[in-house]
Amino acid sequence: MKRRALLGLIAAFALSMAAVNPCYAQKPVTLRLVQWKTEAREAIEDIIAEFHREYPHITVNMEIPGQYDSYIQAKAAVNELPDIVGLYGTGLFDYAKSELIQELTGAPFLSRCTPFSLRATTDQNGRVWGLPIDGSAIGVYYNKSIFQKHNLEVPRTMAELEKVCTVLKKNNITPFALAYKDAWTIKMAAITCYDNYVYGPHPDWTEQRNRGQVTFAGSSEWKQVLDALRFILNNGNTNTAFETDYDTAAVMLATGKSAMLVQGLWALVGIRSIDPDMDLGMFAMPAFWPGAKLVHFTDLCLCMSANTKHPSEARLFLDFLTQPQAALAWCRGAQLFSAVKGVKPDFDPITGDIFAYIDRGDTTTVHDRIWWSSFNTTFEKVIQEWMVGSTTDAEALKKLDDLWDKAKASGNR
Amino acid sequence: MKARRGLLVSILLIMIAIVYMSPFAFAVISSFKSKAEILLSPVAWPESWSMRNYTEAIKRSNFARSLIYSLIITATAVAGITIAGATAGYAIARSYPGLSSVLLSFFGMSMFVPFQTIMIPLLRTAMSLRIVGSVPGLILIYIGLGCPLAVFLYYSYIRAVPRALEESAVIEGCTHLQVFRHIMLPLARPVTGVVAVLQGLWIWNDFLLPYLILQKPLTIPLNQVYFYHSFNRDWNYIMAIFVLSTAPIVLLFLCFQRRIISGLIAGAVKQ
Amino acid sequence: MPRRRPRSESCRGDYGMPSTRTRYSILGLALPALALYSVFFVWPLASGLYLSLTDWNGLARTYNFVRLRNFTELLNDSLFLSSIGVTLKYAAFVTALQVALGLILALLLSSKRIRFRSFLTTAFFLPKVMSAAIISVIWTFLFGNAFRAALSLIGMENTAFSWLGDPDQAIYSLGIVEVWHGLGYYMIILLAGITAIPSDVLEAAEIDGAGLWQKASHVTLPLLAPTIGICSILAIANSLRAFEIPFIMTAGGPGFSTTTLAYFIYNTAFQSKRFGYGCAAALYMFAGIMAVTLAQLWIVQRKGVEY
Repeated sequence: MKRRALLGLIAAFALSMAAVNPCYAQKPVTLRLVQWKTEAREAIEDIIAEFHREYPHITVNMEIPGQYDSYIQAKAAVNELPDIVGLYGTGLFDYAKSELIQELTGAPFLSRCTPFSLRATTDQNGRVWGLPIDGSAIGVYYNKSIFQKHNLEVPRTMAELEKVCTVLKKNNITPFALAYKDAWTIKMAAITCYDNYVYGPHPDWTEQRNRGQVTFAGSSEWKQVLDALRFILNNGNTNTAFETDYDTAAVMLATGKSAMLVQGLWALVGIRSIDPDMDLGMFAMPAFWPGAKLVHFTDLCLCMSANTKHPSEARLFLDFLTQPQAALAWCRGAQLFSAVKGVKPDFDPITGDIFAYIDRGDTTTVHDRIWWSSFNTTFEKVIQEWMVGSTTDAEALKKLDDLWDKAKASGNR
Repeated sequence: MKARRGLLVSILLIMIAIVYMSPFAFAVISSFKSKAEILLSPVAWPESWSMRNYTEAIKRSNFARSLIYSLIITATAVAGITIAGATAGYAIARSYPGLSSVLLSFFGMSMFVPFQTIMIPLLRTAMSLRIVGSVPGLILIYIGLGCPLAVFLYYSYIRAVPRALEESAVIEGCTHLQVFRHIMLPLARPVTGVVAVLQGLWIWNDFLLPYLILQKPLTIPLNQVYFYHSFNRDWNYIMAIFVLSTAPIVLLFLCFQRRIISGLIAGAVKQ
Repeated sequence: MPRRRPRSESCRGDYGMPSTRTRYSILGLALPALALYSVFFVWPLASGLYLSLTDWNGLARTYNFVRLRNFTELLNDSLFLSSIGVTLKYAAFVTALQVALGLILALLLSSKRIRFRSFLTTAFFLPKVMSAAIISVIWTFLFGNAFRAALSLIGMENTAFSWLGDPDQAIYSLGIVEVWHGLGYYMIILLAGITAIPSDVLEAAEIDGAGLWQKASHVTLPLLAPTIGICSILAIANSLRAFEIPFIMTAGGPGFSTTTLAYFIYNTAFQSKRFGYGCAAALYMFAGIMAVTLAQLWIVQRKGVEY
């Protein structure tokens, strides 16, 4: 009698302990997190430590592999996708289609993100596949001190930009620092042009192209993109453009040899490492009409593997990341914007310039997310080939058309 | 007269040789400069001769780890290639002639096929065997790809050895393995030297295969390229790593020059 | 100590020949090589043949069997065709320089009148023992920054040549790196070939009154022909496979002017994500290299017969 009562008391006590402190009853869980941003490593480790303090039974192990894309591909092929994996752009939707990541539609933490950032992970049917984390921008860095010295204003049209370049050249300053040896920088310059010129008036240009309603060769907007790119090429270190790499261009800007550089927010780290106190600003690439828009987009998105063994714990982590302090810490460390509403990182004076555009609504986003992947990777090389003069405008545009059709025919998204 | 002309030509050649080696000299000198110095004044003498680049580069790129891994991978793979090649070469040399030619052609396929042709499906095989990212897996792949050459070299060498020695051993009751270990292998030492040099040099310097399989900068060439491919290229560290990466093989070469050269020539002629 | 086991009749075969059983069982020794070779070479080769008939993108779990579509599409693919052209230009340039310069150096170094021969041999051979990937990194800097700076030191900045930025020039700049890398190797082979020439032949020529150049062209070169043949075969086979140098130095650019065949295959598979298509291109590459090598072997054999 007495013994049974005693046992019952002990059981009740243990149960109540478990209820009060759920962690005693829960098995320790380890989550694998894989993403590619090395700049933010320390900040993220701090966030993980905070998370562990709040949920002691969950440990998050982060890996930042080199050769990110093929690493993830290899893991996916053997069904070993990490619990939380970083994806972006077309890749994200490819994985969604192949049913390798989980749908997150309706998760409460998504409501903390800005609608703009959510577009990066929402497919055409409104289903959300990942949590957007950061935001970046691509525009024209410019040396404010040089501009001030020569009484130059931020150009808002191509005509104004032309005048700026003339003044700079007269004073022996190379207007644009061109790093075209690294073909991806060409893509950056092209993005600032086509995302505004082409996708501004025709946001669904990609679908139109797929239906055959438009072509590169027949598009006056794409012709304008080429004209703008030609202008930039002729107003920079033209003779050495294809031997200068990304770093050398940053040096050119930081040392004042050049006054402008077309790049994304990530270049800030490199420029500041050479001249930390430089008075740096950013403006949007002007158009041939008064309608300059800054390219603003979500880069890193975190998705959950479709067959993760710990879905609820993974969701807890994603929820944690959308808390204001965590989001702010991540973005301060990565030196990028946050996808979370109301979080405005203050890591650099240049953010003021960028937010001016965002607040005014003068932004456009990247549209190569739904380009065919084999087209996407060859696009910048075709433009590079055009820039060195191996093909004419018409030939280059036709080549883009042919590439697009081939990519579409091979069915590869 | 002729001797004087010889001297002039010698000096001319020496000057050409010095220019020929100037990329190394350039890298060594640059490795003492800061990044800004390298980019802004590439051909100037360094301002100061500090070892800062070296210490930083070793830390950042985990150079020590890549050195150890390169050593382990190369040594193990070469050992594996030697054993696999020698055993197979011996077996084929002593078996039926018809069977031998079939097996030789089987191994001979690999001579014409460029790596690119099997690169993609090899990656797929590695993925299904789950050895992507695994160092032992990479070693096995090297043995598989590297043994044909060894098989040929051992085969042609052993074929010329009279069977008398093995005969007596077999009569005494030795197994094939014992005959191989105690008689053939020591006898074929010259071939082992050639195989070690040829395949060892290839594996130590190989880039693409580890790049695809390991996906982490675990070997010396991978380390160098990963560093070079990083976003903000730190040329000062790149130069330091270049000097560190090439130092081992250069030192090894200077010590064993004759051996290495004769090994490479032997390999070329056989091909 | 060998085991003592009772010997049965079958262990003694014909006099001097191993028995049937031993001749089969010895093949057991070949198992490790056969196994690893089959798994990592033969199976991928066969599987590549199969994959080239599909449209697998390397990621999806399913793919379609498209038969010969990849092969016909490649023949109409301007990028594929241009990569063949680039590779041929590169191989021709590199081989010609490597064999020619290697021959000149070998002839010079074989002469007893040249001093410091071992230093010279070491100096020219040294780049060969280094990794092509590592060398490419340094040469990128040399072509990109250092040469221009060196020229500006002597005031010739404006004549600075665009080594890697000019689409017509870039492939030859890469070729220079390959020549620098491999020259010593071919020099050594040719040197070995020269020293293998019996000295009485050379002495006979000298007695007949032959001068330096006559000796070289009428005696040395013809006897060296097979060695030169071997060198060209090796050099061509090697340069047709160029990957690391264009991969690291120019990433195939500017445009597509340095996209070699090997680089095209890599890109197709891992960037454009078309594994099946890449396998088909890789098979074309195999066929091409085999054809070239066999043609060369045939030429060398014929030339050998003549001498």
